[in-house]
Amino acid sequence: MPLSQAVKDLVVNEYIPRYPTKRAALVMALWAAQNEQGWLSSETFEEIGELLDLDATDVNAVASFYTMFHRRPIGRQLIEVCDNPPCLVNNAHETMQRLCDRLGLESAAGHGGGTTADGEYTVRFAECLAACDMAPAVQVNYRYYGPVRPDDVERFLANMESFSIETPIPPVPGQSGPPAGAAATPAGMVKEG
Amino acid sequence: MAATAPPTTVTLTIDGQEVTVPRGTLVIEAARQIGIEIPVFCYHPKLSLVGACRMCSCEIQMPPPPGQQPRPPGILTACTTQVAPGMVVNTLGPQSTKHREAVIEFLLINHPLDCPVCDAGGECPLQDNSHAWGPKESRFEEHKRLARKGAPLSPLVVLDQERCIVCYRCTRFMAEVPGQAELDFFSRGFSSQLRTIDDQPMKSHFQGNIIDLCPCGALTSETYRFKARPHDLDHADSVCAQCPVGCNMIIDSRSNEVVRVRPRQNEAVNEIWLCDKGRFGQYYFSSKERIAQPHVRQDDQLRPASWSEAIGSAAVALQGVKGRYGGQAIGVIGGRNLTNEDCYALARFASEVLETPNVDHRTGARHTAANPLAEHGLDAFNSPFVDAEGAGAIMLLGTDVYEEMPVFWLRIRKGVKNGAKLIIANPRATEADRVAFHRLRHRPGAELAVLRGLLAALVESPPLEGPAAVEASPPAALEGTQPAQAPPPPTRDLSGLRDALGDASVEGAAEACGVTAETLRAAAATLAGARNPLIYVGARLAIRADAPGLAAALVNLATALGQRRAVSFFPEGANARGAALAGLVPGEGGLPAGEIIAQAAAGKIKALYLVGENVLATHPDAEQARQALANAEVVVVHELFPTETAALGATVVFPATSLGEKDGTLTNAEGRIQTVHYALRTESSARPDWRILSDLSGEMGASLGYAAAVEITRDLLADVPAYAPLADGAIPAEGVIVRQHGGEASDGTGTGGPNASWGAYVPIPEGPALAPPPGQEGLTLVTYGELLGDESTLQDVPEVLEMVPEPYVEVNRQDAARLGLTEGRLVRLRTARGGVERRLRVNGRCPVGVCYTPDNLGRPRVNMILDWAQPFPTVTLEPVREGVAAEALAEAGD
Ligand code: SF4
Ligand code: SF4
Ligand code: FES
Ligand code: FES
Repeated sequence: MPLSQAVKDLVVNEYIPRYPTKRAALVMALWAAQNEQGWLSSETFEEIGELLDLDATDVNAVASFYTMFHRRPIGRQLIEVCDNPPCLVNNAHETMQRLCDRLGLESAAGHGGGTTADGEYTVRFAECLAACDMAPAVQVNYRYYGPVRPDDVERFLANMESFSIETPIPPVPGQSGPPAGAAATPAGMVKEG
Repeated sequence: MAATAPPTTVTLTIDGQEVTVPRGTLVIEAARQIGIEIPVFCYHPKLSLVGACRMCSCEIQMPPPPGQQPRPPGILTACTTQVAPGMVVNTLGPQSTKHREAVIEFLLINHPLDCPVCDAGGECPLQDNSHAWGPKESRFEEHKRLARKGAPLSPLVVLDQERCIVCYRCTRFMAEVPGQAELDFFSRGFSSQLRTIDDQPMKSHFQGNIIDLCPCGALTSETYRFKARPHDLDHADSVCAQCPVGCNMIIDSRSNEVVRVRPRQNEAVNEIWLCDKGRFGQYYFSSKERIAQPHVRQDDQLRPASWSEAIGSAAVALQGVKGRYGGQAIGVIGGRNLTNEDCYALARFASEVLETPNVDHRTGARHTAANPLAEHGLDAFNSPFVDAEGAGAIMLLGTDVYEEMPVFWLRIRKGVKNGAKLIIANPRATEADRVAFHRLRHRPGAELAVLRGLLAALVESPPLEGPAAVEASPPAALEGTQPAQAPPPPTRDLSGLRDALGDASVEGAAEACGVTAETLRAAAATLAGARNPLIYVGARLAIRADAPGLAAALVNLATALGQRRAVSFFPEGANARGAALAGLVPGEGGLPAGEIIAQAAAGKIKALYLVGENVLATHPDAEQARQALANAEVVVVHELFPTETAALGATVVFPATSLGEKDGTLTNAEGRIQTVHYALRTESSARPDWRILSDLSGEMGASLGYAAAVEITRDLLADVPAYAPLADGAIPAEGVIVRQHGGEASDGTGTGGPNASWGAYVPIPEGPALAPPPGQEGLTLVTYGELLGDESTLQDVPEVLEMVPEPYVEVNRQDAARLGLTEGRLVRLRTARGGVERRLRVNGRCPVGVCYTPDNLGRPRVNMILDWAQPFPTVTLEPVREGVAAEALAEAGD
């Protein structure tokens, strides 16, 4: 599916002018494209490359650096389970195992997850989500939940809201809100790994 | 503002030695200048700096600010650190040695150390540096990372991901030198993977260079893999004869077989690069398909014969024709891919033995002037290759330089990176268009109108006197002067040009060539405003019927721009320049090559002498060539391979030796004569062309009397005026540029020749109308040669053949939609003569109404359906039904 004119306009009129070089707008452009398309196809890399005067290979390589950019369609709900030490010692692997069992996905420690056949859920491990006090911490579409202990998994899937962590996100100084296209992402707490 | 300029040099100390270098020099280069080698992996002088490997780390200490204690030395990378006054560098300090040891230990953690089965073994910087700097033992006990091994990046280049040390040399090369970023690192850190998008095979013509650049065995050559160890190889210095760049190369052979080809550094020609045809296309020297012995025709069949029989029958046959009809009834074609020695022997043979003026090396040529610029007192190519690096504007007219002279394209790209504005005039988009500043998409065959348009635009707003003055000069501005107040520089007097142009207007030219007047004016302004504008013209234009007009228009353009030497024509073959200098050009009253064939078809030329010219595949009208072969009483052929020309028409076939078996010289496009040395012994009975000619001339009673190539070199250098400065026989290793016009062998900076007077504009002769009239029905066919065409030199190497595109025809999306055709369909390309099948490519490269097909790809060649009288025929495309599987494939690809 080609990118919409709206996204192209956003890149050309909003993002590119912000930076001294076109290339600097690449990650923003990818994020906007993914927000529209759900994932990034080779066709999208071509299109973004054209907008920013970059080779599609270069665009693909940059996208591949970030785990938050998806190279294939993902579920409508992206569930990420932290498996860094504080969460690990709080049984994150077991949480993952139960999630996978419950959703009918194969799981092995370190390689957990996958996407359900109905395209509803994608489950995967994440590096430290900076919510270690709520270990084992989980994100669903980049919103925080926790702790989600192995025994909580049933309840969690049935009613996620009850696990929601109230973390008011302070606005980034000098910016009127979270970055465009990142509405669901708490700015300043974007997972990096 | 203070006017004291900072000193331009810097003095520093490296390992106790003082050295003074220009400001901005990198520490690593400063060290190199005094013979100190700092180990590197990622650093490469031809590539940008990344500082990725840290191998070059040195102890570097800066002098303390006045009155302060010196600070201890820091560990800095010598490859990214610029020299500074008073800097003290210790390349062997204990800290840096320890640091390097650690770098190696880290690099080897995941490196498989499979040197015994690695092609790089024995010539591997990682191996060498590990021995020199690495720890004796690794402390790593865990499992090594496993990754892709033997993974093809293309049919030519194989990746071993486990061996890769992530130095980014390959990715930087692809992105920076040819500008085709086909490779990059995907993912990151431990799991970094060198990949192409969607794992598509690489397509660049320059892939082989990344194998040379890789500092370990991560990238290897499919054609050389597991063939030999470097110490098993014999080496010969040679020069590539696959195109007129004349790249310097080393032929590595083992047991008298070519196993690989490497570039030989020549900064003036190929720097350290080769294109993939040069690198992977030399295996034909050892081809099993080569003709091994002479053949003569008997009862309409070629049968093997001894040399004495073949020479004898050729001599009798040629004598017969000469006796019956005179020398003018013989036509000689060949030389563009031979050595100068072969060319000189052939030229002498034609004039002294056959006594014919009908000699030419330019297959398909329609007019006699081998160098269309000669009558204007200029060489065909008037500037050294390196000049392209410093040009302010570069115009490419009628050439797909990426296909025609690939390694020279890299030089042009360098010029573009240095700020040259690239102007491309071509009926279709080429690779070079990606970095073009102006694209003049003109009607096929309308080049002359484009040039008239540019000239008319210059007359409208004449360029200023002294092109350098036109550019706003930043240094002056920096010093605070007011450039605006300087008196306006005088404009150049173009009244003579106005006369030469007659009543041509920009609008009129725009109408005739299909480029908008606006674009013509913009391109002319760019040329006029540029320092050192250079104009390169494709070889096909030099042999076309309107070449004299093009040459006159180009000379006028160059004169108007204030740089008469700006124009250069590409030659029609690897050694076409050498062939022309050696005398393989039509003599007094002689015919050009194209006419020789036309006249033979008409029965006027009775004998053809073809040296390495498969005219059935290369003459732009195969039917005419077929008739020529049928009607000629005698056809003598020198060939490497059995060709359709030999099979159909040859009376006698002489097997010739290939470049890899020859000593001699070649003269490249810029007129640089370079020496080639033989790499292989000839195992069959094939003989060098000059030797065949010498033997045959003896049999015909007028022996050339040559027994060795050096004797011919000596005669050639003494006899051809352009080579006179070399008559003592010493050709320097990097070759030397010779000039036919403008006097002595020079670096090309001399002034014009005797007739190259300034300001003299020449009338532009009207050529025949080539372009089909605008607004015509149907598609106009444009053809051109591609690098990987002429597959005969590639035929033994399946990997290289895989790179050769399936013969295709390219049309615009709109035309395809109108015709209901889709990408990947097999179509029949038709003229009144018949049709050839081609795979359809649908894209935006051709404008609407134009289609393109390469004329050196596929059997039958497109010349099967071309007519000598119609260089730009109107064609139709019709779908061809294929087997169901193929049909489905094509649909899936839509
Ligand atoms: S493949 Fe070779 S050249 Fe490319 S990054 Fe790896 S080690 Fe360097
Ligand atoms: S650019 Fe031409 S001369 Fe150089 S390697 Fe390629 S084919 Fe040979
Ligand atoms: S370790 Fe899990 S959120 Fe920090
Ligand atoms: S060579 Fe200097 S960092 Fe690699």
